Amino acid sequence: MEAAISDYKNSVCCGIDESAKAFLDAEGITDENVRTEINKHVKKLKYYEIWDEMDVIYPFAGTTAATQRRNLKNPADLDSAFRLVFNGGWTHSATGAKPNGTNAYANTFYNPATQGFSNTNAHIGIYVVSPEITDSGTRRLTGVSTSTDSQPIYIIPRTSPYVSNFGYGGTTGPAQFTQSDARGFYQLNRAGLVTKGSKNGVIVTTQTSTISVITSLDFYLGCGRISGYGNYKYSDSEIGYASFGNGLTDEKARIYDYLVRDLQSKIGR
Amino acid sequence: MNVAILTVSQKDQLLGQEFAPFSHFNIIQDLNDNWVISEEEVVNCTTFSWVPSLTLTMYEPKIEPNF
Repeated sequence: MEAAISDYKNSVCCGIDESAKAFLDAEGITDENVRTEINKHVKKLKYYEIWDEMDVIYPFAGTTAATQRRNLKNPADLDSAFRLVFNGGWTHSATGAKPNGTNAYANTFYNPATQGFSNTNAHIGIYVVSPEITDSGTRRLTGVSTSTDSQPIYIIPRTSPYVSNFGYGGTTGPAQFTQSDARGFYQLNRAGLVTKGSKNGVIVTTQTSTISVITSLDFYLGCGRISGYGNYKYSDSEIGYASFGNGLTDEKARIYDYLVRDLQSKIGR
Repeated sequence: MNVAILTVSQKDQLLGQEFAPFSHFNIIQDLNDNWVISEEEVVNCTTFSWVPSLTLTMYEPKIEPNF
């Protein structure tokens, strides 16, 4: 036990993580608290072996479009590094990035069809700082689907009496749940033949439907996308963190949830 | 939600351009097929001097299909 605690402390507590530093310097983050907490967050992600499962992490660490666009995993200013390009009416602040629900979207350049999403593998994580105002609108935080909106991949957070949705393929519609507070961390994980939707670390939906088509479109944050139609169901939920990558096990998803929400708390969200 | 209606010439000037650092215009059509940009793009525009002077009006969205 003592060895385990010591190992954790040595791995996490002290020193600069080079990945975190590269991101913070490239993004131009000068707030010392944010720099400290992002550094700790990265060290913890690596300690718990979650870092390598992610292809993309957007911590929205800054307060402007310029300082909220880079990928923590690869901070190069390139489409191929999945750096965000903001379009339309976003509002950027210390609490995150809020789309206007009318025409705002951010291109991630991350295409699930070419980045390893499959019938046995997928991860999407999004932290909602403030939920959409128009709950009846089935607005999509992100998502892609075919020209008939079948085989969809999406997350739709809403407040009761409206249902929230996790979509990953299938012919029976998305997995649904109800909640009184739509703020928090949503994860869609498929690590095997079951899609698990979780909210704040609790699995709220499971679905065994097969996904037979991974729609080949880049994910946008702030809306869904329908092949051949375009942007669909713009959201106005403020986003504080987002990630795409490999499907996490239940245990890793719980740990990841704790780490993400701890970060949000430490940087004042 | 408020938007500003653009002429075709204005739309062509703004297409593909930034309205602020690392923020691109996204010109869409409303219910009446007018070209519009959002209030956020109007108010925060630092790249075209005439944009902040545009008149804002209530947005009438297109009806999205149910697939």
